[in-house]
Amino acid sequence: MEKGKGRKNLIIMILAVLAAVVIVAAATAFCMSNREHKSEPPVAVGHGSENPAAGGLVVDTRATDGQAAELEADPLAGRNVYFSGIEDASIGPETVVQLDNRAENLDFLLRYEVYDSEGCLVFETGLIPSGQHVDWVPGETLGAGEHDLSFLQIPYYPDGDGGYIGLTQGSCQTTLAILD
Amino acid sequence: MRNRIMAALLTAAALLQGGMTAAAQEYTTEGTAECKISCQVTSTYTVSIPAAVGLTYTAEDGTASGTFQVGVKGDLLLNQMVQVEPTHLSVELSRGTNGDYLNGKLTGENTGASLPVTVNMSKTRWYPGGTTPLFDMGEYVEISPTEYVYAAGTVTTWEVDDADTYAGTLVFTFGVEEYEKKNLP
Repeated sequence: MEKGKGRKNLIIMILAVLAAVVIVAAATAFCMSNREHKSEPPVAVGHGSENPAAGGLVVDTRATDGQAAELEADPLAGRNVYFSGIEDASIGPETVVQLDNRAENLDFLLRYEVYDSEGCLVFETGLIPSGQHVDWVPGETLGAGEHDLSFLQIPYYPDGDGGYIGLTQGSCQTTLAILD
Repeated sequence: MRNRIMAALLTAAALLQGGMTAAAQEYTTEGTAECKISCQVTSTYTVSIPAAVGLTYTAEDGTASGTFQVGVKGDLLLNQMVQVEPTHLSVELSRGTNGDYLNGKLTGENTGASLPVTVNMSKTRWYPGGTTPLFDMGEYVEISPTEYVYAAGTVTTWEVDDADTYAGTLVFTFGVEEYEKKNLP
């Protein structure tokens, strides 16, 4: 008699635990479903590809924040070009002048044209990537003596289609005295 | 022998002045005292200039204008200053009054029309603090060795007659100049 009563209590306890598990699972599923509904993006009627699941409501493809559109329209907005200044110096015939493109210039490329006081081109480089430099030995190009030089630095922005957009230029005025 | 060594050292000292750094020194002491020196000239200051200056058209007066910031950073001697000036906008600019640089021009991409432009930059000189120039150098900016210090400028077109996209290349000329100074009390 006692044994049968104990078995009955055990069965009731198991059923109660199972019922509790089912209730918790159902409540969790309900909460998850509700959260998914709430996280769906707001929709607007109008332009864009229609999503049947949204009941005829579609995301407006014209929607944008102004800042992103502006940056996309002008990738140079707010960007600076950094030019190295070269001071007047007395140098030997083998002294190297580093014509660099500063690392700060990132994707900007830079080339140099060096002119003497009469406007004659005495040296030029190709495009120099940022963080790199081209060495120039003025003593190999110019004779001994004092030379007023213009280091015209011409930066470019690669437009992604194989072309280059010219940017604001800097011209460094320097006097180099090349010793004999 | 001793004199030759002294002469070589003096030559080395002379070559190393003026912002140069020695890259390598090789001494050969076989027979005669010779000193072979190679040097590199590197930058001591940097100029920061906007990559492009965009102009905004104003319908009220029919002109377009834009602003820019020029920055300089560097470690100068006390009697040196860096001067940065706008000197070309497609053509050579002539200097007007009150920091105006006149007679630049932009060119219309479709019409080829020429649009006159004025560039204004009132502060064009950066110099180390603690000194005052003896001559009137106008407005100036104190330079910092660690961060860029900026001065502002504007670009303004004359009245735009033909609708078009106008463009031109702006060139800033810069360099170090020496000046006489007096020490502040």
